[in-house]
Amino acid sequence: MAFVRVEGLRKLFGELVAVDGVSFTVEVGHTLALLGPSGCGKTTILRCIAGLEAGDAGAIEIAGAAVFDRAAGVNLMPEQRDLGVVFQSYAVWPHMTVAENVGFPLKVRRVPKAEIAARTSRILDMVGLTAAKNKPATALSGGQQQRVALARALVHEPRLVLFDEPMSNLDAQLRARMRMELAVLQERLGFTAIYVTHDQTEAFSLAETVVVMNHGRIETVGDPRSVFARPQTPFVAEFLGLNINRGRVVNALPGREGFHVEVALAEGFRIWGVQRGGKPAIPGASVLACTRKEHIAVAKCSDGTALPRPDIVGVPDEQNFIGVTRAASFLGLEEEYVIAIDGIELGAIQPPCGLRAGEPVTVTIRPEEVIVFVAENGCDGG
Amino acid sequence: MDAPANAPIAPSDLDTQLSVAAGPLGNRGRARLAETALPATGVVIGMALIIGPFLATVIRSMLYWDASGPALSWLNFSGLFADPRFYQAAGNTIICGIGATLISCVLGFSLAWVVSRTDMPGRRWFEVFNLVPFFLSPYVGAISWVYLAAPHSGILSKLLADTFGLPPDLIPIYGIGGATWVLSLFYTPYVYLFVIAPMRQMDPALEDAARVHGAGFWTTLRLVTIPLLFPALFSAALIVFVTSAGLFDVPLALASPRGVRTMPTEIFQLVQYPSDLGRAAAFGVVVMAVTILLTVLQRRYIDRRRFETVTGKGYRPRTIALRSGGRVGALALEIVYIGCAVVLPVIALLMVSLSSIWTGTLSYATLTLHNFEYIIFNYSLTQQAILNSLFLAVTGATLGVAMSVLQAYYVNRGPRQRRALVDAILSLPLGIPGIILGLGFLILAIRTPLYSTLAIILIAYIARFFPFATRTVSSMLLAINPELEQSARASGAGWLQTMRYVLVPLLMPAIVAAWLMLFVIFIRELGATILLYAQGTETISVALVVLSERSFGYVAALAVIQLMLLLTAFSLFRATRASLIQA
Repeated sequence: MAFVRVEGLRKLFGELVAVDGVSFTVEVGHTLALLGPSGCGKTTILRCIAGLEAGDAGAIEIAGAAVFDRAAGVNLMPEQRDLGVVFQSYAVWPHMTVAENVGFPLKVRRVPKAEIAARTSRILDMVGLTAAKNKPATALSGGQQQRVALARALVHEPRLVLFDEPMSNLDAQLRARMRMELAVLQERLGFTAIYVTHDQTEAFSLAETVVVMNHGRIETVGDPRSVFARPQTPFVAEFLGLNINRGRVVNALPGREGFHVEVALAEGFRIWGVQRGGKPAIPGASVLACTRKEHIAVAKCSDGTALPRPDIVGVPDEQNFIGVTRAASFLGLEEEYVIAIDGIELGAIQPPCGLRAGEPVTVTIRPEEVIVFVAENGCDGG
Repeated sequence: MDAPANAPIAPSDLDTQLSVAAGPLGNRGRARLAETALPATGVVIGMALIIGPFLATVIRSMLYWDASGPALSWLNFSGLFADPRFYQAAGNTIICGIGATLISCVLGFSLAWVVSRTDMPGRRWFEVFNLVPFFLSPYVGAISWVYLAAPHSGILSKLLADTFGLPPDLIPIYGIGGATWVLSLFYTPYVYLFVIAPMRQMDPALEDAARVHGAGFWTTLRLVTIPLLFPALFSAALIVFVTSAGLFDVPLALASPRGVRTMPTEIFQLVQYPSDLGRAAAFGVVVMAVTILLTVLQRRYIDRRRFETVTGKGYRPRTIALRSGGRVGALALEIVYIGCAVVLPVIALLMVSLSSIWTGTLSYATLTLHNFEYIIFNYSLTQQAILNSLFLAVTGATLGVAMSVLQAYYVNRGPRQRRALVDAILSLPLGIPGIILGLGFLILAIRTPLYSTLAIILIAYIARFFPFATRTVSSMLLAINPELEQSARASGAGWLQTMRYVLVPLLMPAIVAAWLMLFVIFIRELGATILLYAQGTETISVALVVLSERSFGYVAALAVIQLMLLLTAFSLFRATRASLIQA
């Protein structure tokens, strides 16, 4: 059952269209992540759901009741929507103690004092802040303030909890821990959540449904695995960090999943890939070839001369190229390389193999790992 | 901060040339001397200007002249404390101060809120207008309100009596009530300025968080907004109390005519013939003690409760859409305030200044430019007063700002262990009433050649008001990353070159603002001047007081001229600040 329903939501800031007709639903107890770069409208959607902004068109329904409906003139005040919100800046009140901050939603609901104390203690215990209970909120570290904000958003057991980039101010290790703790808390308390983030790891690990946004519109919706594995648009591919190269179609054959397309990225650099969905590419058409950096295998190549290209008809199982390492950067368990093949640059990530800049390499790419999009109007993608 | 002194400094060509002239000290020695000596000089002069009159007042309060000459004694204090007039004056001043503080806090907070947080129509304009009273003279404001509301002859009194048949002495403009009202109008912008910055910088999510977690608008205001702004509001209240209670101008115009005693007018009376400087000094010591106590309390309080509401992020303040009733209310508040503090007084001044005889109404028969002609071309007192005021304002502002830059440098970049103490001492005059500092300089100068010169007035002006300039420059210097100067030093610039090419240009907006602020203050200053002027060293404000016993028309005309000087400074302030921000 859909617990939250957003229908045709539109929001303008002067001339700027911040949200351009967005619709989605969230199931009871599920988490939906709004993922996208800054300025894509994801936070504005969240603020419209919270009642902090009023949309210019559309409707928002929570638990079957309209909280906003432009056409019907419905717009409930934020305090009437029974929500919990975790803000990006935490918005922990500096003039209150930790317990006062967390107890606030109960206090304004006129819950008896004894019950406020009991429920505040219980939720502080859950987020591991019992010891800090009577400290002034400003005495806490960023990570602890974040927990205060989380406890405050959960203490009154709201039906829906909204998260506005809650972890963007935490360091990487703390972020990983908070992600796990948040998943556990949601399991225990069973709230429905909408989670705004620009961090794909966060979105994929927390959400049942990921909505990727761009320029106020939805680019793609799906479960994390499908969004990750099969980017639906060049924007999503680029946002997820894939290599994107423009080329022309040389050859197109129907295959099991859509079309096998041979793309010329440069004079001497032709690559086979798969086009899933859309109009079949015709030879000469401008296309984008996307490759995940982890799917490009790079190995040392002693002589640096081109391999004889087997003159086969049809799609090869594996394609090899000769390139040059332009740059290498060590990431720990992995190493990232920038490889140039006939002047075209590709990023590759793999376990360190000691390549240095300027060394000739062989590059192996499987055709089914190359995603081909027909370039619309020649201005999509990178 | 301390790093540039230890960091290796590559000498530039210019520095090398300078070092030749510097002689045996050499390049680095010379740079270090300028770096430490110049800011310290600014601080030492500032401290001397504070401690001199302070000590003079304290010592004079303990000297009592009898037949055998001066002797150390408590007689000045015991005489003061036995005098019922002391308690009347102190009581009236406290009532006035508390009343003005409460009214200006409510007005200032409300005006700041409607301007910064709502969609009230015309709020961009009101944002500017609300600051205008800050630049006007309270003495002129008080006499304008006499023109407006004096029993029988006031413009408003007449209007109300003629139109509604109300009694012609309905508005109690003379006395404590009237003085409190005019003080409130003039001190509202102080509160407004104090709270509008934190109101703007406050993370709007702090209020949003209250709304989404179940608090309505008024609950959020009560539990979140006001508590968060309370430190700013409380500081503003203390400063308004201290400065409004110490202001001489308004009680002189509105309380003295009815024989109502206040602290500043009582000190003025004690200095008049037959003067009792000892008792005046004792009164001054009591006031200084209370002022310093309140200032220290305020600093303590602020240090203890400095909330981190500003996270250094540029927040887009969320404006609240007012309903029609709210719009009308907000606009009415603005119109009443601007009307009472600016528009009505200016209209009254113009009407009086253009009439040959003032009867409470403007008539064509008495319309004339004679008042202006006379005070500009024919009357040596007013001519001299205008020249004196301009000289004092321009010279004083320039010297004061030069000193404030050095002090601000010391307070932000000087020896770390002394900064806080120096800052605290240099801020002391902020609350000391002008008339008391004037008294201190009078005692200091009375048997010296400085007595009855423009120079002593100039010194008193700088001593009383340089902390305003130092505050302005210092708060901007605080925001400048020391690495900007360190990189100039690392690139080979000496300290003086770094100041000249890097720091002073960066500080220019604050320097211009501080100069204009001192100019405005010096053009209208009355409390310190009234005890120090002599024949030939009258200022515009003194001339207004002197003339007020002779002619309404001349006073109004001279007040209009002063008003034009002040408004010019105000528009320059707006213009330069706007253009400096764009640059």
